[in-house]
Amino acid sequence: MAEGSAAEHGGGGGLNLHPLEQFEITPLIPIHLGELNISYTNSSLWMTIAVAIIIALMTLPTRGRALVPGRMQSVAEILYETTANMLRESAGRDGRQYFPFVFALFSFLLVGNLQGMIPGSFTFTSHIVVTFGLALVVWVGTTAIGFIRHGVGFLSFFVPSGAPVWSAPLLVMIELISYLSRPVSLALRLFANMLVGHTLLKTIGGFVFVLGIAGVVPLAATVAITALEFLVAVLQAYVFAILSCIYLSDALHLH
Amino acid sequence: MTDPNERDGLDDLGKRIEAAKEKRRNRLGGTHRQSASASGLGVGLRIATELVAALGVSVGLGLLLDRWLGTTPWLMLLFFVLGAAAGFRNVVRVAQNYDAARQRERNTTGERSERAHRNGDEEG
Repeated sequence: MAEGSAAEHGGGGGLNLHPLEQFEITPLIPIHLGELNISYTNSSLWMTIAVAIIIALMTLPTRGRALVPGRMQSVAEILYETTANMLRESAGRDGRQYFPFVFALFSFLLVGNLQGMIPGSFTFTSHIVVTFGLALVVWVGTTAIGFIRHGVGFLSFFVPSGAPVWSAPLLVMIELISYLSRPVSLALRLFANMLVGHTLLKTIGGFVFVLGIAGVVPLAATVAITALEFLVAVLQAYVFAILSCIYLSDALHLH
Repeated sequence: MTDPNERDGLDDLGKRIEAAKEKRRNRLGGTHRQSASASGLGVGLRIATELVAALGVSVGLGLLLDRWLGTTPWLMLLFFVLGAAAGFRNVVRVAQNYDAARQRERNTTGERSERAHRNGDEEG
């Protein structure tokens, strides 16, 4: 999808700027399985790098298990503690058994978002296919957990308590739509934030050379937006993970 | 067996550890507040997408049902209203969660400062 839009918008404009070119997916190793195109793309490459970084971060510096942690071990421990706190505060003790999934999700998104801040890299979280895929895993997973834990009783989640009986059908419909919108809002938020931020950076960055001496203004803006993008990268990974925890809590505790 | 000097040393060490712990607790409180303001930004960004997503999903559902049942445009209109309601329901839920979290935080920091106060009284 992003491929098509990049080709459409990238060509227009007299400034010869291609702010959407950075989102283009290019196959590195073409693999075709019948009708299916499962090529190894630049997106896959950066996902592989992200996983490699996470594995390296979690295994190499903690190998010594030093009592006084070194720099990298501290990073690993902070990441662990942040995730553990997030899960405990939103899902309580019952949520602990789902820690590995939440940790994997959070670290994958965090490293993926931050990777995008390296010039010339590819931000795989700026594609709605990726974010919607992850959101769908969370949504289907939490719904399944809800039904496994509570059986048909999980459906009582959609019936609001304390409302008059005659309004129940309407309220159930509203709750159902609200529940269905969860994966969409989860995916949309991360995707839109990453896409907008990177497009903005590239567009404003393009003005720097065009405007000559007045290019100082967009240059300053670019510096400021870069700092903002670092915040957004961390924040959006955090929001995605904490919402997954809240949905998990809903499935576990039904409220 | 217990040398009085050693006991004094241990008591002193105990006091120092307690003081360091208190300091650390206060510092942790500080970072907690900071993360609260950052998550305030997160909440703000959440609300917009919650509204749009509920409306989008609902209208999409209405259009699909319309095409399936041949009732264009009535179900779409109905689901537009329902989607708007669901969007507001989402926003209200976000606000409620945020309020509850802040209330919890205020309670814990309140306890913490109270405890610090009591410790100060004991020492004074």
